[in-house]
Amino acid sequence: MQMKQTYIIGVLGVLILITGLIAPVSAYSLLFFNPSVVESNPGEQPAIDLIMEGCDAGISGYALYLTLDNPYVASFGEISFPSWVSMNKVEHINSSTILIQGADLGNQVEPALSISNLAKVNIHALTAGYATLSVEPVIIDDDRNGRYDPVSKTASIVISGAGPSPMIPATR
Amino acid sequence: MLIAAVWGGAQAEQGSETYVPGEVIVKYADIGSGTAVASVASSLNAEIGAETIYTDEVMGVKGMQVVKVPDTTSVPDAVQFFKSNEHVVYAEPNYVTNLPAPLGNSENTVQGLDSETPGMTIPNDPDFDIQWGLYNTLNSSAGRADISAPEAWNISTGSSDVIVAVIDSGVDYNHEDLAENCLSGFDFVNFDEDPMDDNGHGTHCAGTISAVTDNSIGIAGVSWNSKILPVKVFDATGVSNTALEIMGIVYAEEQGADIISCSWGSHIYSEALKETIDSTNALFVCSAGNDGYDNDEIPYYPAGYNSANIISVGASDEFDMLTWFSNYGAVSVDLLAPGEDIYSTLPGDYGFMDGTSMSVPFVSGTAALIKSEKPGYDAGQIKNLILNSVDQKFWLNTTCVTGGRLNAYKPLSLVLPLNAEFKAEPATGTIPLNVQFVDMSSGEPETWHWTFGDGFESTLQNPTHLYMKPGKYSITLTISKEGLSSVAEKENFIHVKPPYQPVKAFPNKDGGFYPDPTDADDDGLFEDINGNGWLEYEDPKLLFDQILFAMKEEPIGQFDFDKSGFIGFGDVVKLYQMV
Repeated sequence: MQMKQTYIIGVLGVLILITGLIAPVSAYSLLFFNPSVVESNPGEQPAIDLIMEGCDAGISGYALYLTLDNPYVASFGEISFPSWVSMNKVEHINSSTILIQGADLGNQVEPALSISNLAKVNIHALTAGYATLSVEPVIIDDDRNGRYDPVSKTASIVISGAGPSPMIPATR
Repeated sequence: MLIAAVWGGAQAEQGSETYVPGEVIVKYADIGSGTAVASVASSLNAEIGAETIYTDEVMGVKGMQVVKVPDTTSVPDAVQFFKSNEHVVYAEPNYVTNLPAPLGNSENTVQGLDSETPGMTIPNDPDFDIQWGLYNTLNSSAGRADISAPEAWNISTGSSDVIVAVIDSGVDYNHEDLAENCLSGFDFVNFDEDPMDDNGHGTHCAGTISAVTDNSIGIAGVSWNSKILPVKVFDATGVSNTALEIMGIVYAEEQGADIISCSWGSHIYSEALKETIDSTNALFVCSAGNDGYDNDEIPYYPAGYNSANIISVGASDEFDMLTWFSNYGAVSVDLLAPGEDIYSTLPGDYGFMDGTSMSVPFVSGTAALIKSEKPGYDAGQIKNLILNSVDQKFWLNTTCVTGGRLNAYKPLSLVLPLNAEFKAEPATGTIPLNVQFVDMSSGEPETWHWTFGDGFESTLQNPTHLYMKPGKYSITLTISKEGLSSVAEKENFIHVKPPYQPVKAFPNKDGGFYPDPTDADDDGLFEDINGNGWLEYEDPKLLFDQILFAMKEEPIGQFDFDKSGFIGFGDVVKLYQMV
């Protein structure tokens, strides 16, 4: 009986894995951070890449809100852009949110590129604690007169220090 | 003054047959009835012992007679005698005219007709390829130097209603390549109705004018279907005189000749001949002469008469140069036409000849083509049309009035041909835009075919069309008539703008606003984002910076540069590319 349950769970797992491998390629686009978990110490400035996956129709430009939900623990440092972002803008909305924009004037992110760096986010590690870095897309336009509607994932910022280590919540 | 000068010259040449011995042309004033003229003439003739050879009835010119004076009276004395009478308008010797002596046969140059281009009509006559004056393929790199006959024939090959009188040595009316186009003419040398050519000059001229063409025989003529009226006034040796020429002209006029081709002349001014030409409605095409002289200094007649219905023609060669023999004149020669190595008909044969005599038929034939298409045009109109549409060459400026060589196609293209043209009202506006198209074509087209640029078409003459989508539309109108067609195309002629909605000024960094965006090129798109009046890098940059504002506040139509249907970064990229 135990063997049979293990077998069924194993088959389901393989199916889920296969489904997971196939679906992202054609079904959706994804915004995520790399790394998704950043451990740092106060005073350091770790960098996190914001990446878009599934930009199969190219990218003409984007506008995204980035939010650090605990400005006492971490704040935004310099935002840098890859070379294809030939026109860019960073606007501080409030103490925890910035708007970043980029445009591909040179048509460098052409259709058929499935993954692309959008920006590199530097974080000021202020004090021990935990913060979540999230991205909210406003518009991401492709090169074919279309618009993406991506799923986005957060990143966890863990600043080590005196006291108990913060517990990391599950990623959304 | 001029008469006296010419008269002096004639006296000096009396022994070399400048005029017909003993003959005088006398023109009496209109003194009432013919009886009165006859009475005066009879009295004067009796007084000097002269007898009438041609009465004014024979001459066909009221009051004009040709008399023969006794051998005991010199022609100059007789002329003075008649001129001294108050009823005589003028009197002059009956001048002799000689056809130009042959300038030698030319090389038989065979061309290859492999460079036919669209818009040409090439006949099947086997010797057409050696008629460089009609279509010169040998010299194409330096310009063809021909009269563009194939292009002209694409418009007209002439009408059988048009009559070209060839006043010359007669015409071989039995020639295989002429017979069909020859009318019955007259022989004033022998005074009979058989104008057979016993010299060859007239037949050569007639062939260039109107040889039967596209008949797989011989040569092509300039005007395929026009009729040749043979009028023989030169004898077998190429000699004529003023009286015969006048009678030939009057006869041609009576027979309804539209064009009178005169490949002859002399340096002697004849008041009688000029008056006859001036009183004729036909267009006279006359040779400038083969002396290599400047006709402005040494006039040549009848080409040099100051008459509104005369075209004076010099000779050009295959390189559009004045031929070595041709007379010229910046004032007195109107234009040049091919006159060297000209291949045409000869009595019972074909052959080459050189001379301004050979240039004249090209112009006569072209005049016939024009007359065929514009029967209502008078001599002056045809003349002006031909002279105003020559192929000008700067090196010919000093050789003739027009500084150019005959082109047969251009005058036809000006008068007859279909020339598609149209207008549209309004040509610009916002959707839905109802446009009235108006046909403004010339040439009285019979069919119309419009394309409106949006996939729709019409065959009405003046259609209306409703545009429902913004954009710029190219319009074509194709008209046709009797196998001819003409196309007018106007790119981006109709501009349909999106429905207008007010645009808002973009925010600036100081909390204020830029001036309102503008549509500088009036294409319905407001490229000038910052409203400073022109398109520059700052415009896509401002649109980029304020893309969220634009998405929220601005009308899509005026900022949708990439036609995506929404405002976004695609518009930034497109606008940047437009800078």
